[in-house]
Amino acid sequence: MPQGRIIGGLGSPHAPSIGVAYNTGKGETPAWKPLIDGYQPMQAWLEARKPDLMIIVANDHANSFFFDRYPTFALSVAAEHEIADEGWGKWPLPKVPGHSEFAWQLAHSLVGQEFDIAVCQELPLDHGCLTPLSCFFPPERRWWLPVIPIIVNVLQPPLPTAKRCFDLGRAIRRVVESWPKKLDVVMVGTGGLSHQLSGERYGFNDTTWDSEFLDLVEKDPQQLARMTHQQFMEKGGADSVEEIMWLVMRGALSEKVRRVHRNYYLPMVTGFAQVIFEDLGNEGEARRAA
Amino acid sequence: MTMAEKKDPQPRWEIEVELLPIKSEQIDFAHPLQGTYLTTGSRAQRGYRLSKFCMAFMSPDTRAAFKADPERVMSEHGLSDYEKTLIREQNFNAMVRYGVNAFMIFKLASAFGVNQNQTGAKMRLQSFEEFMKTRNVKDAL
Repeated sequence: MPQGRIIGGLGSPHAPSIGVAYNTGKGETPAWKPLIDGYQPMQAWLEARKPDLMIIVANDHANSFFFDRYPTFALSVAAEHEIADEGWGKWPLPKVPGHSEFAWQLAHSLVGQEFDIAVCQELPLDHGCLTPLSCFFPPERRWWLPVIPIIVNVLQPPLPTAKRCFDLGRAIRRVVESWPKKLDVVMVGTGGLSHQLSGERYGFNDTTWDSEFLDLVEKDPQQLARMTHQQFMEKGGADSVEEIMWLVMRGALSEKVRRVHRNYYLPMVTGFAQVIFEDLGNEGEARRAA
Repeated sequence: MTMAEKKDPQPRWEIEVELLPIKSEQIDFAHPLQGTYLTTGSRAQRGYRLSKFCMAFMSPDTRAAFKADPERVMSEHGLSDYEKTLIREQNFNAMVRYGVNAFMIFKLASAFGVNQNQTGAKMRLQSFEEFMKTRNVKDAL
């Protein structure tokens, strides 16, 4: 009797400045408090719901991978993950535990569903995973939960389509729901909303679009899944195309979700958003499959 | 008249267009976004060697060696004169146009003690002070 289930999804930015601010105690400063406070409900939700596994969808920032060989999707089966040196020294964090047993099943079942994901036995993590993880788990609670990182190419086109990302989430749900043991899984989608980090358009933002994105990812993610990369980049800046990683998280959730947290803050160059979506189970699944 | 047809004093590769005849349902190559230089096809390949050089800064040994003798490290990596010039001038705008991804440029910029938003200001061809006037919260760095 399958017992695995998705219990909810978290959305979080992953900019390194946030992780550094949190880890160096700047969370109470006026510049950072509006965002760092937004992690408290997320920490509390995790502690209350006690998932057995976190699947985090992030991108590599040319730390685990380089353009000599760059995977579209990658999955870690490692028992633990090193901290990457991104060019200015490693963050002082303990290695992040993985979940090899479920990760290998996930690898087989995703490829079985024709998601031909690269399988990694070593995957140093950079700020893409470490910023949200740092903020979800305060120092005294690192890391009480195993983590399976899924890495998406959002750096060098061709990138996977928004629809493909959403469908990957749905495929992950099927694997979780066929797992024979108790396994409560929380999905995490990471990435900034509007932002662009290169060219003369560096610093582009659109708070109206960011707000609309947050409405859509909650209530009508299929509409986002139909968007092209060009549309994402026009509306939110070139690097906002990483919002497709939120769609992996959302695709893994029930058709309707209960939003219990939403926060938005734009201090510098990136629209930062945090959400908690609770899964409403499979009551709507027949409808969704139809 | 499209951007590609326009007479421009700059070499074509310095502007936003992709030179290869790539067709895509996701990227509208006929209408490139202004101030945006995607590392597609030709740009990605052109920027590859300099990108690889930036990656070397993940090693503390390279960071120390570059600090001691930048010319030696650049020569050891077989960089062209143009690439070396971009580095000496910290011309981050031209590096983006040339085909280096921002996350690689940040590694190199860090070796010069230049942070992400200082790098970004240079990409915008602005002073850091001018750029910061456009931001909401000045000390969220």
